[in-house]
Amino acid sequence: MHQFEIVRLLKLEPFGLDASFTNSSLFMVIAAGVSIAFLTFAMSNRSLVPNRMQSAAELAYEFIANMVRENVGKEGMKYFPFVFTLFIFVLACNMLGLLPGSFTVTSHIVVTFALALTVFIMVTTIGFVRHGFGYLKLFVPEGVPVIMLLLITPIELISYMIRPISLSVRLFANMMAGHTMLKVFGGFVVSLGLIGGLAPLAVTVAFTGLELLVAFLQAFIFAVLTCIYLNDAINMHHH
Amino acid sequence: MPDDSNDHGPRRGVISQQDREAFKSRASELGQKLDELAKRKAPGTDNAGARGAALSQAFKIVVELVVGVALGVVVGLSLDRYFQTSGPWFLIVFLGLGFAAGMLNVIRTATQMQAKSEPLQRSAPSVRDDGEEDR
Repeated sequence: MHQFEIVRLLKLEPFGLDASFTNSSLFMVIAAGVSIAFLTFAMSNRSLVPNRMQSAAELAYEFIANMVRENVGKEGMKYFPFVFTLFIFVLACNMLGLLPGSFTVTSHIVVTFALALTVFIMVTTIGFVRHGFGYLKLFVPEGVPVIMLLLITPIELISYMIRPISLSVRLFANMMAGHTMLKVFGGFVVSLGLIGGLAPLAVTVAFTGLELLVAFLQAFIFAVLTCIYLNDAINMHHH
Repeated sequence: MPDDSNDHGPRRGVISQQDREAFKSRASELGQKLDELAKRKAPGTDNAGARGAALSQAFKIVVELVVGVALGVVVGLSLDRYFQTSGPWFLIVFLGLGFAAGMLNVIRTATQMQAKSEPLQRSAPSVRDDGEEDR
């Protein structure tokens, strides 16, 4: 579909690698720019009694800070900047993608998988740094007979390995499915004409509202799951 | 207020008996209204926030089910091809393992959610505690 196509805007091929600046890169830059502009502008003339922009920015901060504190604990606040950046970036990408004619960065699995892999590598590194090889105990639950371990350890290992996949597939699939649905119903509006098209038009309007919710929820879930994985790495809870 | 206010003049700031009564009745009226509103909102099951939270839990769980099995298929098939096995043995094994891993993630997420919502459920009077130990 046209809205998911990648277009090279600026051809860059250093050392034979294709590192062109595409429309996807453009929208990533825009998303980062919008979030930076929003946060700096909102906090530029801060006061004790906040205005609308400032309270929106403070709301976002409090929201993520509480999330990290709740899911990881006090120690997790060290990683708050990472989680906050991740949340704001994904949220900005999702929301910008809802504008007509824009490009949804998060509807490509390459992008979401890269984000998820960053989380995965970071969390695993933190786990090994904090616990050393003891981190491997995560795959060997206590109080399980040795014979059962032969079965359980591979299962635990796979369930750990599928984390980046499920994290990225969830975000990408939801964004792509939502946009495709909107496109399909939009097509119905055109093909059914002036009177028959009213019903799909109503569906499209309702669906746009739902998409707004989904765009926020997916960013939220991405951040929450990052927190949960961080919690595993820092506190090594056995569930 | 019923009589002209004491904003000016020597008796400024003194509240007459009549005014006091009026304030009291207004305060109790407001209290009643607030109680009604609180009662209407108390269950907290139907507002948008709760629905959004429920939706996010559904999103969280459903993908885990699919991804585990899908990974099992991919790994199993590629191992079969690599070792040139006579039958789809690796596929069978990894399908099972992938399914189990996906289930494990689902169960973990579900128990975490339950642990989080438990205090809320306990405080709600509508939920009867039948003393059954689940889990």
